[in-house]
Amino acid sequence: MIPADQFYAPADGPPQQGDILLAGVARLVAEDRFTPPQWSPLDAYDVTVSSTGAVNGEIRLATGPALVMVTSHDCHFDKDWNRRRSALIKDGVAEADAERLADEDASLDRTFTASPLLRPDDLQVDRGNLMAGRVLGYLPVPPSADGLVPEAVVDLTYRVTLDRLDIVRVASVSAAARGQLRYALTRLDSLRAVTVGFEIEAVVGRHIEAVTFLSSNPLLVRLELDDGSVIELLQQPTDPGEGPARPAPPGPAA
Amino acid sequence: MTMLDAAPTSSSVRAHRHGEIELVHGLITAAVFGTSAGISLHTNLRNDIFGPTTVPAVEQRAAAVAADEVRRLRDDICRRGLTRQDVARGIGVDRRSLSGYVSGEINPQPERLDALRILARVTREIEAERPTRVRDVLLMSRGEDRLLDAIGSGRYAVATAWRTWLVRLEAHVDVRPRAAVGDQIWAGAVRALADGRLSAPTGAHTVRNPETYEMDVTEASSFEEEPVTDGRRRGYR
Repeated sequence: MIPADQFYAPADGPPQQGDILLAGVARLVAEDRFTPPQWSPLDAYDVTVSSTGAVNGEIRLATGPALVMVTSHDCHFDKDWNRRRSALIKDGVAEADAERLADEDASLDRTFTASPLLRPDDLQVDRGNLMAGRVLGYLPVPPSADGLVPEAVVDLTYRVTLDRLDIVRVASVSAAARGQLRYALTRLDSLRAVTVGFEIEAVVGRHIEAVTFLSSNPLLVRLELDDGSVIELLQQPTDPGEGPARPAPPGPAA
Repeated sequence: MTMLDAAPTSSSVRAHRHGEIELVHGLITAAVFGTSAGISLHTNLRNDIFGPTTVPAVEQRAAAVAADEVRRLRDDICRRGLTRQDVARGIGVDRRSLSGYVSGEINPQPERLDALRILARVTREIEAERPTRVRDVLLMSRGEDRLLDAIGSGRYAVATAWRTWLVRLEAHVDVRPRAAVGDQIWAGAVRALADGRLSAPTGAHTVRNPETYEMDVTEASSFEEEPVTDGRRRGYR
């Protein structure tokens, strides 16, 4: 985990990825209103909307206040604004006027996504691994010097959509912390093994074009590099580890 | 022809209550057709046999019958909480016209009678399920529209499906606090907010190259997962 003095940054300016906010969170729940134990602190209220069109006539929410970390990329907060600015300029509006008109449009770039912060002890995960940032889906957060953010982890598996005009910023984070967030998001949402190939490429200094192995000899892994060379990795045979097995049935052995 | 009384057995001309003569038709139809059941031909006969002087009598009779029905339905609806003004609005006329229907001075158009019957039916149904709330329901708005006006404008399907209208309007929200679990991680921030130490991010924007918001999905091939077949391992190219 990044030390607090390197994790946090001055909280000013426009919203940024990694900002820690005070906001509400909500998620849809089933009829039994099940809450995973680690989310119990988030589910302060049960809201039921009875209406036609809803499944079984009801929409059920679990909601409550929370500290959240912005997961949307910085450029997300400028997406509509840039489009509008460009369109106005294309229509002949002067650049300064186009930016002013876009600034005045409160409907632009209103929504973004965020994930809530949880107490590490509320998760049934090894605390050491969790705070070292080794558990997929969680980003460790050190306590802030001003005491507004306690030691926590961002639960990236809980994602909410918020309105930019309905939040308060508690803290901003450094580029290094933001980098960790992006890495954690990538690992969670898209690339489970994002580093393996990159690490090997970094060692050999070439781009890996293909990775193959022969079904006749699965211990041999061939790395085909972009310069045409091939690296063969031979896995050392060992005894198979202890795998999953059914316990022996009770009673006398057959 | 439903406005006609049961066929009498003798012919006569009697004074109508509004001073018009009324043909009692039993013998005529019996004489012409040998039966008193052919009353539906009465209208044609009146012109053929008695000439136009009988038309006002028949129409007056129809108006009187309609007036009776209008009065009965109007009173029935008003007993359930609507005003006469509401009833007039519900059938798409002004209050004077409704009074004219009741007095028999104006013969209501069939569509007005239909609207009145629908309104009466809907008010009966609403009262059965939501006593004392008939007027509230009929005047509940959805946007600019009201159920009462739906009837008046001939949208009977909307009116007869009033429960759907009502349910949508009456979407009910129930909020219940749960027992607090753990300490509130946000408590310090709330105190800071109350002290005025926190604020929202500014609205400043950054000019970005349009390419920032574009992508070429064909480039995603480098992220394609390899199937486990054909000897290749599962992974990323």
